[in-house]
Amino acid sequence: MTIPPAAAIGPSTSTSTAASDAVLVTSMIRALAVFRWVTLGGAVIGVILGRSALVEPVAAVVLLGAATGLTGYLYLLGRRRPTELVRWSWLALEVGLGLTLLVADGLVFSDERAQSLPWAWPAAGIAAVGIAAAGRGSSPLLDHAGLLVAVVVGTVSVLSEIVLLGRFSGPDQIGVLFSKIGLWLLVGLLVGPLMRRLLRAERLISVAKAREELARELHDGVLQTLAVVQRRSDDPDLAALARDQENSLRTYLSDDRLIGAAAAPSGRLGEAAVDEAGAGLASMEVTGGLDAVLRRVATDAERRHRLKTQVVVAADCPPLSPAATVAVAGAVTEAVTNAAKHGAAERVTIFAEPNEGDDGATVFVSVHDNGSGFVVDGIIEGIGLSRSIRGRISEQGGRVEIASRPGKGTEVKLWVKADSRWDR
Amino acid sequence: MGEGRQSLGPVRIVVADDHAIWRTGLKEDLGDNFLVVGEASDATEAIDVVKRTKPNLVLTDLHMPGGGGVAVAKAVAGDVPVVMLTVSEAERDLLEAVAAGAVGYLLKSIDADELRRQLWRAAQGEPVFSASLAALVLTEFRRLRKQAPDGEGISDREREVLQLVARGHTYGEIGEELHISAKTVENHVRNILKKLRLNRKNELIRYAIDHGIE
Repeated sequence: MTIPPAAAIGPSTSTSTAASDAVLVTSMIRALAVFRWVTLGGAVIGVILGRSALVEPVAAVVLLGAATGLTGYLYLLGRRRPTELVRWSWLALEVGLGLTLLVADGLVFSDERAQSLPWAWPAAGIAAVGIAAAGRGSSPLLDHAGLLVAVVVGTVSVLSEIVLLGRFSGPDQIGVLFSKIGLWLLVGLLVGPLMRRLLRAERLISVAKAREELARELHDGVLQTLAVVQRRSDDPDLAALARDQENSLRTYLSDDRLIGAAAAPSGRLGEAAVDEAGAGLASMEVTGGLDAVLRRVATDAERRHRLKTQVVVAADCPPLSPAATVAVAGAVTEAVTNAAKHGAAERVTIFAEPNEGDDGATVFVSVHDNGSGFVVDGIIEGIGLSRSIRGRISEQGGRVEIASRPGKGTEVKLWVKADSRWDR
Repeated sequence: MGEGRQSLGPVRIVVADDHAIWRTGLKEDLGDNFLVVGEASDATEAIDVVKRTKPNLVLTDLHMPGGGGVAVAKAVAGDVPVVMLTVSEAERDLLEAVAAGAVGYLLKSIDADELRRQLWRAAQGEPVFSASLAALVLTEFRRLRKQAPDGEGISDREREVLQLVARGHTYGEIGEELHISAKTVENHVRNILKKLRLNRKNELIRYAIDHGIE
């Protein structure tokens, strides 16, 4: 079996995230029903209390009736066929009725009344548009749909005050108008980004869950089988193949590149990091966390040289910056290559954990082989070990120690600063 | 846990795994120095077989019906060394099994020579500590120290030993590096295991008190 690259499993992943996106979007819009009922109740109370100032009582009742009808219908729709809530027709109707209520407010009351028809009610429409737009993807228009509707509502409100009623005067009325517009703009501004973050968080969770399930399945099945093949096959090539596949599979499972892809489709760690480090590792794929990267280095080394590697990364190992990850990957590759080529090593252990001395502000990495070893001061500069490893690590402000003795193998130890953006 | 075997001759071993193909394969790989005195395909059966046959060593799969290797270790690790077999090193169950009394674990993809060597050592009472297990235990003690800074942690020397194991050094190499005997290294490892078990027990007691379970 060959492990498909992340891109190959992309389509099925996106189908399932689309489904869970839709569920989240509709449930958020359904939740707006509560808001509508509350603001509608406020409007009814407002009309009852201000009934002495009503000049068009019939129109007021009709409008309130229409708002009640739509609130009730959307509530029922949310309970029975929630997916229909995101249809543009319903969203347009809700925003339209909101605008009508705003304009009519000045007509059904006499002058001295500032506002009592449901001025907060249109905020539900603004929020619904913002949520639905976030669920439909990303474009300049969709990203700002909520805010756009808020601007339209605000503009209509101001125009109706000035043009229709000509009463845009007095500090009280201006104050009330601006606080209303402020509320609408705030809702329009916040709802889109909030919804987008929610969707992203949910996507991350579902991808992580899927991977966990996959990992469990594979542990019990495929890894088990690959282990049987390695142990029971008399054919060394077949055993080597099984080991190689086992390594690939483990690398894949330890890789958080799937999660990274879901979080930020354009946020690949690779190219940018390689440029930044200038380490000339462009041909090597550097995505995912340190664990995944080190496993990939080890798998590659096993393929190229006949040697067994073991990768041990502590679960609480703090992340490195992309540039530092590239540097460590390069240094470790170099150390493993040297172990195989010059040290004739059979086994290499790659280990990483938070550095004990400074409570994890630094990551400690060790590459230890059982090869022939050498006299540290004599040979080391000659084989370029120093230049290629020390160079990479010191560029990142890190430190390198090399310990080796003839017949006792070699250990390369690195200390590299953890990513400071990561909160310990 | 038994402090090694008294008698010479083959190690009497019980093999527990829910896949028959594994048990057959293992039996073939064990060679003349081991004598399989019992087999089991789940934890309950394994405990039963161990009690009946009184082996020198138990080799059990971590994941099996009936509570898996953890249940086996809990039940019999006081009388006989228990070694876990697993396909994955990244599992918390593994730590659980070791805390329950297992002397260590082996990966299922281990080659036959290495398997025999490690099992032989385990039968003599030595902890079978791989690099990954050492890293797992180091992480666990870091976690414990963060949770309870004044609780009983491991000493600096023990930490040093553990990290050297995680870095792929043998007991002999560690002894040389620290100027102590390989036997002393082994004792350090045994103490670390003891502390891990003690910590786990204390944690369970604390949990019970916190949640009002008598």
